Amino acid sequence: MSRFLARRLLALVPVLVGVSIVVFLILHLVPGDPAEVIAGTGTTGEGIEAIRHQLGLDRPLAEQYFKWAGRLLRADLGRSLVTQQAVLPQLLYRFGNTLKLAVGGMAFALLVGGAWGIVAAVHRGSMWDHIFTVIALAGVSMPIFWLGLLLMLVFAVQLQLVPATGMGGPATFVLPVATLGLNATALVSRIARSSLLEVLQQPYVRTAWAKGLSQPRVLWRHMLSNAAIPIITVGALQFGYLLGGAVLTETVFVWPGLGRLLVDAIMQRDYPVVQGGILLVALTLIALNVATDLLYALVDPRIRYQ
Amino acid sequence: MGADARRDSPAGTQAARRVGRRRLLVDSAVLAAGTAAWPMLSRASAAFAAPVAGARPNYNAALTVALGAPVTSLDPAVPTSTLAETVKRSMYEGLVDLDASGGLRPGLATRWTVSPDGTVWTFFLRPRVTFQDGTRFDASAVKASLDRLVDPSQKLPYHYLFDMIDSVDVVDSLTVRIKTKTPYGAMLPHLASEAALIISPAALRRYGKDIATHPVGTGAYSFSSQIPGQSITVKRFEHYWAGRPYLSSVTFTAVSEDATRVAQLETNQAQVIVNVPPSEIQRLRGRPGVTVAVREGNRVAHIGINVQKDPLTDRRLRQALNFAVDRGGLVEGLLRGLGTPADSFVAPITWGYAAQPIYRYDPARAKQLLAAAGYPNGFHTTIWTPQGRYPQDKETAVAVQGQLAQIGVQAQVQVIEWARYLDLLRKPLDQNTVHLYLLAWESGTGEIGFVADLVFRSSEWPPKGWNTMFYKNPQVDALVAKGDETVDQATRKQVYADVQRLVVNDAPWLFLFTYRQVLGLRSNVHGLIALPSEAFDLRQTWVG
Repeated sequence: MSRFLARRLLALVPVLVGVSIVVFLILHLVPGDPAEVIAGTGTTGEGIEAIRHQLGLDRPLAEQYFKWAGRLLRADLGRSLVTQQAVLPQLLYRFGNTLKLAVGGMAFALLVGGAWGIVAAVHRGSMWDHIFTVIALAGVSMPIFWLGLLLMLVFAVQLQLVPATGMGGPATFVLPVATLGLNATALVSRIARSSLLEVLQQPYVRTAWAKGLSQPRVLWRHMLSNAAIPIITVGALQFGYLLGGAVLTETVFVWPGLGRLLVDAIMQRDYPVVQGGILLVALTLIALNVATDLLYALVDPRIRYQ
Repeated sequence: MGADARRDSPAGTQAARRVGRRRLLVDSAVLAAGTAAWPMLSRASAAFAAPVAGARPNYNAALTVALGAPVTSLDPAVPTSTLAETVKRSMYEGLVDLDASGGLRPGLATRWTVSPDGTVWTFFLRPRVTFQDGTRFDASAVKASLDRLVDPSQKLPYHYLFDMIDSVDVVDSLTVRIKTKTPYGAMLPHLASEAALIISPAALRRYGKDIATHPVGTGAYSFSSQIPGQSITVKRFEHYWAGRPYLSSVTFTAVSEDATRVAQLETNQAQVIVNVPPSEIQRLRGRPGVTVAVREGNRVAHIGINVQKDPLTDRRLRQALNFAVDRGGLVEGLLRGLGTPADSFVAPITWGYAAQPIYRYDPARAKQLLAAAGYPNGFHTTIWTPQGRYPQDKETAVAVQGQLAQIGVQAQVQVIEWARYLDLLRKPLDQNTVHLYLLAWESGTGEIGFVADLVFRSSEWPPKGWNTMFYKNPQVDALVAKGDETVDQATRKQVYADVQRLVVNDAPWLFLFTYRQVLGLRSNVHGLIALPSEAFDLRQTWVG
């Protein structure tokens, strides 16, 4: 296990170096110049040159990369070209907020989606199964953006049960978490249902019933632990998606998260923010993959890592 | 400032006051349709306006203002988005102030004089003013702030607005003398612009380049905290020279989604929101506790024409395009009436505007001109446009495409992301591939000289300036230079009237319309002074 972990962590280094180079190059090769965006249309060519010089954008590309990468080794992600604020604290603050949202959304999806899936599988073909199927279909099909505005109009503007926007007390989490989670809920419930149904056909389940085991015991001990692998896989994938896909939710609910920051930064060609942000996201996704692998071993004793 | 930021201004000539009055009329007409008690009714004066009878200011109230885009730099010498100016002006003040009708009035200077030859300006400063860090406001503070802008080695983006200044001298502690290299007609508007807001000299020394993240001015509110890209909070400056400001704090948040801003206003999470979508105005007016206010804007939407690219080198073809477009129809159809058809390259509320009503919608005339120029069946071209930068920008390009097709001109519409758009427009002529492009200029200083200088002089072809039409008319060049050097404002206005006549006739733009601004306010918000730009002045704002 520890050798497996060490190997995976070592493999991280080339991946991150690769990501840093690719992100750097893509950003700098895309047309558009941060100095022009910062200056807008309010200044002359000289003014734009002045900004470019101030930001060090008039240096050769390789020099800019190594300067950035050198600072990166000292955990310094530089400063935003646009706001002049240090990038790292900004990213960590935003990332924390997105994480709160994604964890909330994931918990919502696993609890609600998992429960739906179990009910639908155990009572296959029942009215509940059909109702959940329809809701899940709607959940998967509904664009997050639209769903968010809809929830906001109903629960914040009309019913005034929760605040419309912002991040603060528990009430402010309700709408964004539900918006973000509903899509994943639908997916998790479908996967849970189908993988449970598959397990349901297995001889050992029939044996368990035949032995006269109680329903909860068959469900938890025999069925769920065997159906868990696909649910974990989809859950992990969904979690990665939630981290990245939170941008629309963040936009609608003015949530100070990472997605919104990155989109704004890309539009403004704010290189250090985008580079640092993408690195952080890459790092998170890799960590998530490793964690998922470890979780497999935990759930399924047949899986061993050498 | 410019095609994506802005402001307002002008000098106190009779003519300027006439313009101001006309705008007031337009505004009251618009307001009559709504319920708004619009700020411009509050007569701007150096001291705070007295509270409206029946309502008393709540000194514990905090205000949240939802802007459409994140505020970037807070350094006055760095251009930012138009909306950022509101934030800067809550903390900083300049020697010359702007009033609601776009006029100039005393700010940190109580009065000023100019020498007969127009090269020496003397400013008499307001006594007993302190910066938020406790530093005394005096002549040396003014000199430090202005010297920073004038010094080319500082490489500040707004340097170009002040490169006519030869020296800034301290006469005594409350008198400053500014000498210019040549007479300069737009001195006061430039000093009233966001660029010339006065920074605490102690803060400048202490923070240097980092002044953007540590703003210290003399304004009613002092910097409190910032979540970059998300929000900025300023708090009441207790020792503000004009008396205790009404609000305990103001938070500016960046909310890019229109529907979200509206929801924030309706739930009272924000008390002021910008850019209310036209489709929501009627509904919001019916909501209790909410007010919608509409006023004329400073920004002129147009389709720029690269006049060096065949076949549009021929003036008759450019005029034909102008005759082919139904401006009134665009305003009604696309902006739901929230605009005014353009008849010059500046808006009616910009100082120096002179109407040039020569291109009435006339497709038959357009076809005649096409035929006379040898293109009876029209020609093919491309219109570039950003999307989401201006209200209905892409839709405008598409509508123009449709109208041009009526006279046989086949235009393709190509949407280009803003950062790349700027890059492509600013390529030098030999690498420039633009034919037609949508842009919306406004005068950063509120007067016509700003746009005339930056956009229509032949010395301003990219990559230097913003003459992205590559337009060249020696008469215009000479007149614009004369306008810059004319200190007498009546003469200056006449010079710019001639510039407008020549430019409109040469048609380097397909003139479209000016936008109106739509603000949403909670009904208990009073004394908000909206400048003709999207910026507003919160110094007299209170919540009842």
